[in-house]
Amino acid sequence: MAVLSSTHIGMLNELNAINTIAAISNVKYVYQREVKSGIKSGQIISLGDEGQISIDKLLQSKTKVMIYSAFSGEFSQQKKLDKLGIISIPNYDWRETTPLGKADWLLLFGYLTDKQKQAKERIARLNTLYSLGIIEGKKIKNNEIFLLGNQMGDYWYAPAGESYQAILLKDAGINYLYSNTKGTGSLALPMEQVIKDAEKATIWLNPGFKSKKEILLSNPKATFLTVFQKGKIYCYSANMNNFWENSTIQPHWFLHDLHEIKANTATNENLYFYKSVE
Amino acid sequence: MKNTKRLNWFLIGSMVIFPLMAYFHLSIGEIQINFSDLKNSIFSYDAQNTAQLLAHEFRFPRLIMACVAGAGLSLAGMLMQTLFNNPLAGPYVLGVNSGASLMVAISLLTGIQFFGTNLGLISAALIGAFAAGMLMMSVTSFLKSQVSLLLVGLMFGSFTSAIVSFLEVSSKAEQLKSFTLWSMGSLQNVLLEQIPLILFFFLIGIVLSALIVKPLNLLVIGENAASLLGIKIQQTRIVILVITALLTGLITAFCGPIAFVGLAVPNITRILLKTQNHSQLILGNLIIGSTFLVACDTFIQYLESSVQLPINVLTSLIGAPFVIIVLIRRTK
Repeated sequence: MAVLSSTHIGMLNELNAINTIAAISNVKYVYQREVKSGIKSGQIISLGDEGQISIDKLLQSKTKVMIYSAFSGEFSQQKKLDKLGIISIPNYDWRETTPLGKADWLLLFGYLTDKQKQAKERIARLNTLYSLGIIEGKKIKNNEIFLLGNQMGDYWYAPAGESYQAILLKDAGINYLYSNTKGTGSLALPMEQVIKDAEKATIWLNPGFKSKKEILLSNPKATFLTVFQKGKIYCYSANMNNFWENSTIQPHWFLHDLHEIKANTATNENLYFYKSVE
Repeated sequence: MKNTKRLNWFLIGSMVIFPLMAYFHLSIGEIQINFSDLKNSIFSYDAQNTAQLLAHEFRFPRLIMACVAGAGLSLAGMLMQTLFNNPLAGPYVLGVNSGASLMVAISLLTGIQFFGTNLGLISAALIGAFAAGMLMMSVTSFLKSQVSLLLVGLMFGSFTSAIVSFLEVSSKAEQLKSFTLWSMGSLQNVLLEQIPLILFFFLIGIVLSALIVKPLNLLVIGENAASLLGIKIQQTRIVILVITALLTGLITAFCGPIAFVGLAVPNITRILLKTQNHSQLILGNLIIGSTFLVACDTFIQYLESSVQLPINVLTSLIGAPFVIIVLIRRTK
């Protein structure tokens, strides 16, 4: 099959079904070593970005089924695929608003690889691990305020209070600055408001950059945030491919990272996705 | 006599409207800042006071940047309109912005160390703006129609966009992110400590413009006639090009691309002042340009709680219909 999102690779890896992958979108976004070496040896074909995949290469890969993310509705080359007899299936895991809801999409890959039993067992196991993670989080008595997001253009974008990210933070027992806001998408806030609201924030997550220098280059006013001056900053940008491949299917890893950060015991070695931004 | 009276009324009006607009710009927003905090943020600044911090580090630099960007782009637009003898000329339409954007794209998307600094970014934008201006000027000698010139500007814009798209595809995620953020355009990213540098280059642009008022006034009657009256055309062209590149490059580097201001404001100024005297036009463009962009940004701040509107979107929404109106009027 062809999978056009890094998340799909993570899901197939969870089912030990990497060998079913015949094609992927762009090699630039791959973390899995097995997939990388498959591309090197020619067993797996790189098709290009999701919106502009090469149909010739898709045919060359002898793909029967193609999974895509459908961010913009129907696949752009749907009619061509229909004529070629290639089945295309949209994967809407990104529309889910809860971490476990996203992980449930493993079942789709279970059916496609004839490993539905294994998929159901994995999902049950993930539910248990995640629930245990929530309990663990409650034991950490630390109420530091977390700020999320960064400025893009004229506004600061942060997860709204009912979004997937905010739910994950809530499950980790984290005191998120905008947890009481409405909406499942993003909040767009003036930077001035964030400066005022975040006066007491001590931890900043997901600025989208690996270093403070990079943050300042894109958002020079970040220097006025108390958390930038005195707090701690963490981001998963250090290895984005790892994050996109594994964060959906291993939500308990995500919880683990958040717990370590919350408990002030985080080091770059004991975190799965996050790294300290210096 | 009539013109002097008009100019006097214009100056009196500006003295009332601009300070009012500037005060609104400073005080409104999601967080309202009162007059006392605004005053204290200048005369007895206390960084621990959030309202004063916001005024000192956010509102004042943003206001100054809006004034410089509006005034600078309008002045650059006026100079290009006089040089090309075309009311539809402007740094955005003639590709000067595109040249600056292309060089910024090259600097941000290729990861060359020097360009990762503020100085590098400004240099890149200046080089790009100047090269694009030179290109457009050399093309004019081959073109007879003014519409052809605009089409060349349009084509140059498409050409640079294609190169930028190519660079985007082959760049790293972080580089792409930095460029995307820059290309959104913003008046907010400028820091207080960068203001002296910006004002320095901006003032150079104004002084150079003031020095070529006489050649500018004579260029209105055509290059040949101006040449017969002793104007050194080639020298004047280069000075205009240097000023345009300096102002456009400076503003593009700090604010990203801002469309249509350089085209619309010089036309509005001509309509209001009804003069071809460039000393009056320069003053008019500086005042109207800064007031226009401050008003746009104030409007954006006012709407902030309900609609998020980037500055470039608002100027395009106002500027694009204006271009169509000017085109229709010229066709008639």
